[in-house]
Amino acid sequence: MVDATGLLPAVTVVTPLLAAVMILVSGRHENIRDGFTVAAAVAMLGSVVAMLPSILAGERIAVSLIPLLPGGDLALRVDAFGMVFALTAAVLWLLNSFYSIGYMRSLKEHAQTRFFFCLAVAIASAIGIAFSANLVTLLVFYEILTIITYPLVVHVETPEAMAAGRKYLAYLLIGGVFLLAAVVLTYILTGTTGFAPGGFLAGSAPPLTLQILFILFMVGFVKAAWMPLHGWLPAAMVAPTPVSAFLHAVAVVTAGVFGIVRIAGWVYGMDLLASLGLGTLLAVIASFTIITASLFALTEDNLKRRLAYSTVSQLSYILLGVSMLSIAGMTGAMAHIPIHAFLKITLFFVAGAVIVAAGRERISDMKGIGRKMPVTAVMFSGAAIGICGLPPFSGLISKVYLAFGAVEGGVPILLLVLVASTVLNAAYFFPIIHTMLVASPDDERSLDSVSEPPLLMLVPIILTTVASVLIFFYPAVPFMDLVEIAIGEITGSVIP
Amino acid sequence: MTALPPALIYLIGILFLPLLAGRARKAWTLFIGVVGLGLTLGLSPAVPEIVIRVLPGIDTVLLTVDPMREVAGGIFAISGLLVLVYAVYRDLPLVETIGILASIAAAMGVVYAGDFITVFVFWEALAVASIAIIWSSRSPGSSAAGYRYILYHVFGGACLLAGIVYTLSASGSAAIGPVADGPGLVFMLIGIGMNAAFIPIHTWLPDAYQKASVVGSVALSIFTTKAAVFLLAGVGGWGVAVAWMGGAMALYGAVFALMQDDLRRLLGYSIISQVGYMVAGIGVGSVAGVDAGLAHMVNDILFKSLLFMAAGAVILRTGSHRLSEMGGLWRTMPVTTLSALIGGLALAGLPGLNGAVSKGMAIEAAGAVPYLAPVLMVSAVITVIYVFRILYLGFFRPAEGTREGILPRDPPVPMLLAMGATAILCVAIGLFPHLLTDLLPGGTPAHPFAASHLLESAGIFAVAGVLLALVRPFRRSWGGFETDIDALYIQAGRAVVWFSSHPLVEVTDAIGRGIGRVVAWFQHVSANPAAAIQIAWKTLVLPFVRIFWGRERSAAYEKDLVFLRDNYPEIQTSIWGGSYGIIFVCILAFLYFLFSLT
Amino acid sequence: MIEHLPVILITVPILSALLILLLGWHDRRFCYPITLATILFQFVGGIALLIEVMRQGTIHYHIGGWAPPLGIEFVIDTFNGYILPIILFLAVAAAVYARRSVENEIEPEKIVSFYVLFQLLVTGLVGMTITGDIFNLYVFLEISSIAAYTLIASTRRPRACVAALNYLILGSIAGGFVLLGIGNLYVATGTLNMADIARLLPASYGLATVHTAFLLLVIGFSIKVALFPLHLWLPDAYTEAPSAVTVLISTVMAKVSVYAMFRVVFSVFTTAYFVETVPVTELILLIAAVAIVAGAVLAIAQDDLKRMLAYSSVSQIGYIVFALGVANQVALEGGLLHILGHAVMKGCLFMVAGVIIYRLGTSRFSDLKGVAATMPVTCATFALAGASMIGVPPTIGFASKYYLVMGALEAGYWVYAAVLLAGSLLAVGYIWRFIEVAYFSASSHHEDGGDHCPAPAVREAPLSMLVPMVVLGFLCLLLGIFVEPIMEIVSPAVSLLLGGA
Repeated sequence: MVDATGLLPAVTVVTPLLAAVMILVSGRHENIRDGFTVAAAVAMLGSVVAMLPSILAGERIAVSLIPLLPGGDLALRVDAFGMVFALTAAVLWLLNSFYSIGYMRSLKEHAQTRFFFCLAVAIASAIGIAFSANLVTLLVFYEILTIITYPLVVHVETPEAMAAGRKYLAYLLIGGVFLLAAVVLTYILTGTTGFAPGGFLAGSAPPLTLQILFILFMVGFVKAAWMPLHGWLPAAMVAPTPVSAFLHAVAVVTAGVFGIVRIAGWVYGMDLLASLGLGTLLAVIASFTIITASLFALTEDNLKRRLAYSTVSQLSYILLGVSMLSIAGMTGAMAHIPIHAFLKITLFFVAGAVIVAAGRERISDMKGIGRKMPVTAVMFSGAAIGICGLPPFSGLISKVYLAFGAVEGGVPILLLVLVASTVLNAAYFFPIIHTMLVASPDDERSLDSVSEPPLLMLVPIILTTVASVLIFFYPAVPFMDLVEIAIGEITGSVIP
Repeated sequence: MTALPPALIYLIGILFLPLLAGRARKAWTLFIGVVGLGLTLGLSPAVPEIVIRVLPGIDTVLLTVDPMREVAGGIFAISGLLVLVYAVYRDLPLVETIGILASIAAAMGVVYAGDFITVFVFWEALAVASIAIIWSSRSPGSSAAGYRYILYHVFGGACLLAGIVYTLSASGSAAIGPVADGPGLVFMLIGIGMNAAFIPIHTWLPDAYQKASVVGSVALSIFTTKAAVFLLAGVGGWGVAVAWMGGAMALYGAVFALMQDDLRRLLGYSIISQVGYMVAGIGVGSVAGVDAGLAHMVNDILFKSLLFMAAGAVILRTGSHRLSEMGGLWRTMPVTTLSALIGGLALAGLPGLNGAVSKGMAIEAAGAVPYLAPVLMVSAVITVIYVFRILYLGFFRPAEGTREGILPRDPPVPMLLAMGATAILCVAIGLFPHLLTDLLPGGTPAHPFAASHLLESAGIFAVAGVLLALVRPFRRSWGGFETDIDALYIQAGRAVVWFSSHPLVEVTDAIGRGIGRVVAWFQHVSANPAAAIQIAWKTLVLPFVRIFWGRERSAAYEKDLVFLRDNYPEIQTSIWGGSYGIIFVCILAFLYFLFSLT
Repeated sequence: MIEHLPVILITVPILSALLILLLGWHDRRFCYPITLATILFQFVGGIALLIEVMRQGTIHYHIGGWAPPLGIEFVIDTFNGYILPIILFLAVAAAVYARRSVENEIEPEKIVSFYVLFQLLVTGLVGMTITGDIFNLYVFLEISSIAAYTLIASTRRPRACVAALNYLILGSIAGGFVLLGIGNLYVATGTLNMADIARLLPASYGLATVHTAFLLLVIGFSIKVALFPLHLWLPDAYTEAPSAVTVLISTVMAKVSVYAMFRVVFSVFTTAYFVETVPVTELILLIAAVAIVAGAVLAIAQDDLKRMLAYSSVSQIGYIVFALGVANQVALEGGLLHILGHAVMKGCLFMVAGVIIYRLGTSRFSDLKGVAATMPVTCATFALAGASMIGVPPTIGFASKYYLVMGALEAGYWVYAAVLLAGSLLAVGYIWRFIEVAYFSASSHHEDGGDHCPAPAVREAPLSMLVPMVVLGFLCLLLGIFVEPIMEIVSPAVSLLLGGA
């Protein structure tokens, strides 16, 4: 199809890139520059939404840009699962842009042009990952994402930040190299790298090779922050909070898990994974990560770092869902991507709001802060409850499906993991809620200077929380519908 | 005609709460309570089910009605309204009001839900609502208690989910029904049992109810455990094990209630004990048993909330919640005393009050399981004793317990209204059991005034009286015994925290440092590889030098080495010799090839 | 006219070198335009030749009409047809770039001779590229080498002379090796024309003479391309030479030496010979792998930008030789692609170094803190080319890396593929040192919420240096994205090499 819709994917990816250029050009005039950021976000969201109907109708929009390398043109292909990621990223980026503007301005951060430029390019590559039609394209955007987020991570340019940045770069680039090896190997084995529903690797090589290949892929997608390769994520917390939100919800880690699910569903296929016994490997990794990360979070006093560990643990929910190799499990995994994104970005938004409004990063300093910034604190509580999988928030939905998947996939032991991690989630989130809302400050006067954050930050916080509630009540629109289509693609059957 | 799910009413009520304040808010809550009650009573099995499809592959049944649900829903609606009335006496914190309405909604949801997933959702909602109630009384210790509460219940909820999932994948439908044996059954039991305060996962109950606010404890006492009992009955098909669990709860709760000094903690244990009767009845599984369980649920809600209301009134007026600090209140707070008297005697099972009705049914039904009925009777005896303690120590004993200066009087009108209404209900059901029994799904009749029952009650009271007469400590107030199994759980939790804060962190840090050291060494060497190699080599051969060379030569050698080491990495070791050496090596290599090939 | 183009590409520049000398005596200002014009002309000629070759296959040009084996012939096939425009393009870039940096770095009275030698160097390299006669190859090799020695020595810095001397010694040794090798070949076959040798040689594959020749040639060229551990002349030479010269030798000269190596190994001795008869591929692979890692490690250890880049060249040469070691279609495509890619990006990086020296007078990292604030374009270009050096998609560096890894895996060299990837990670190590220093270190925070405020002291480089630099930088990206058309030239070239000419 060569009509307008055929070009929409390319448009979606290119829009932020153009915006990035314009941001560089108009760097000296703040308002114009930020105007471009917002405009690009809106335009991008628009073009994504424009594609939604035809995707929901079960179509796929494919466009091949340029012949790049053997095994993969630079080609985009929008399918339901890609749409899940793209839609999440697009919506959250719009909110995140407003939030970032508010954050950066109220803190009078330096090098804002660089900041927004990198953000724009990063979102472009995130969308590229979501829409990539083959491993090569995926790899290209994945690497760009790695490089372009580095300046964001080291934004504050303190020695600590530089160290964190090196760590970040080391982990992700090493991962990228593994990914490259995996992609090339895949091409050599099969002669193609194009994603095919249900996978295309089956029977292409002896089991051992495929197992090694899968491990290569896993290490390649280190962005999924599975333990013990998670070190970069808490370290990256030195970045400004909008960046953390971007890393944790909008793009980066999401890209990692997205990649793994892609590999599982569109390169290997669940049957092949099962026959290779890779589900077990994945399950072990995921369970270990979920529990250990939660334990780390339990005693971490720095709010952002605790949230980071929470992310590490939550991401492995997705791996866990994949590892169950059952339809329900896969559904839970896919659904958890947007669900977790919306919840976690709220939490980070609040963390940033507290930094801006009260200048506090340690949980122990936030006693009774809810008295001065009630809305923020309540939204935080909501999102936290949601992550624990309690109603009325979207977290519960993916939890239910994961539980189904565990039984359906014949691995009830994973139910225990779910139970344990649910308790641990509550164990490290409810104290924060209590500190913010119930506890009374050690020194009443210390709160005098505190007030709600500027509207540019407050509104996104509210919107994301509301979104999580809406997803709980209407999960079908649009995420579960998309997931249903994707599941149908890779398994040929419908969700039970 | 189609009806709304009652839960919806209360949820709508919550939506508007933040906009209102003061009187308006109170009026609104009352209005919601009344509407909810009306709607609930309007429901009949004729009402069509409300089914929506939220999740792919799962039908969500928000409303389905049958006799059992009518009973439970009705009592929840009534007691909910009573709580709201009771709460009017002062401006509650917004969060607490939300919590109360939410727990009513959640309980209603659990009751009228037609499938397990919906049940699970409202189940979890109930936990969240309860924590809101607990935390919004900022009383000392409420923080910790609330924290423990949510941990227990999140755990319970997760187990319930696990059990549900098993049932679904076994039966293929989400409809509420018996659970297949196996892990699913265990999970399900833990899940429901957590809210029903099975032994030994009951400790959250006295722990939290004791710390909640005056109104809060009333609200808490009604919904959580009773919703669990309802679900237990709804699922059905349990074995003798559950019946025995009921017996154990009845006895355990009664014994611990006997040992308490804190009034509300005592009532908490009393709840456990009474829930034991219900569980026993449901566990027996016979129609009569289930009916007994439901009936006792209704009655316990009534008299237990009545007692909690009275306790609340006392705490409000005297500020003390320990029996040892009360006494002589019958003079100053007559109405409160009266309602406490009615509630207490109902709890004790005095014929003519509602307690006797269902307790008799329960014991009768328990006869189906050998040795269970006696256990229940024993706990009934103990119940009488601790009821006596409440009434005597709290209200009727000479007032030496009360502190000087305060002249407590009866609580504000709303409280009195609520208490009065509840008391009337207790008496009414007690006198006309068929009011209740006609509603029961099994329609089991109750005849508390039959000779056998009267005899039974008389026996219980007689034994209790004898014991009271003989054992003086029963009549004395004392400090109370407040440790329970949860001491172990708390230790376990502390252990986990310690583990994650010490060994875990330290080990990871150590690993990180190790990697850092390796990298540093790498950088150090690569700063001047030539010199590094030279140093390494010289160090390697140093011992041989010491052995084979003369003293002064080896001394010079060492001096040279030390010099190298000190000036590393700045030192420039000439590498040109090296380059020619390499070329020489190349020539050799090629000669080697030459001769190896020809 | 067009059919005489090959010889014109050699003769015209030599004449113009004389012209520069004469007019330069009269007035120094004549030198630059003449040089530029000549090299531009050569570039156009190179393009024309490439088109010609692509259109109607290999071109044979007999000098003076003397047919080989008696006469010397120029042969332009897809391989050197591909190399020729590359080196000439970079020569143009270097020439454009040279003017200002030369004014800055070289005594005025030496400028004339500088341009003469510059011209001769380019000419010699072009000759090496297009000749089809192996002895003629040696002649041009020496011409270019001697020009290079003198150019390196032409700065004000005293150390430059030492560096040049070292290079001279090692270069001459290399020349000796090559000459001996050629001699042996002549003894074995009785001809000097490459095609003839390739035709006659199989008869005498068993002879020790041939093996000797092969090894002598390989070692000799290894020194010229600075294959680890024979690289020792390279760092000093690259570091001490004038920026323009560094650009020229690091890109054009190095690449032509690699070309010569490939040409001799593949076209003179066929693949059959050095894969089966003398199984050295494993050895070459090993050395290449060591070169990749060691070069990168040494590069990381440097604290001077230019020297770091020099060592990185050692590592990158390793990549190209690696392809020779694997010697299958895909890997060689990667290798040839990397010849282009590395030429472009390393040229760009050395230009950046030159610009920085031009403005700051130094290229030590410790002096470059926060330079990005004052020279944004320069540093951005470095970032771009650096990304290509690391192999971040979609840059030319990524493309060649991709092909090399694929070739290695296809040939079943798992370990060596891993080494390749590790090498690209080490590349991050040294590239990032500059990125950090330039962008993120010691650049004081500004409270105005705006960007780095420009410091008055240092400005961007002059346009004539900036333009070629930026052009090369963008080429790194564009070539990486539009790699397909290039592959259409490369793959026939590779199949030609593997076909054994």
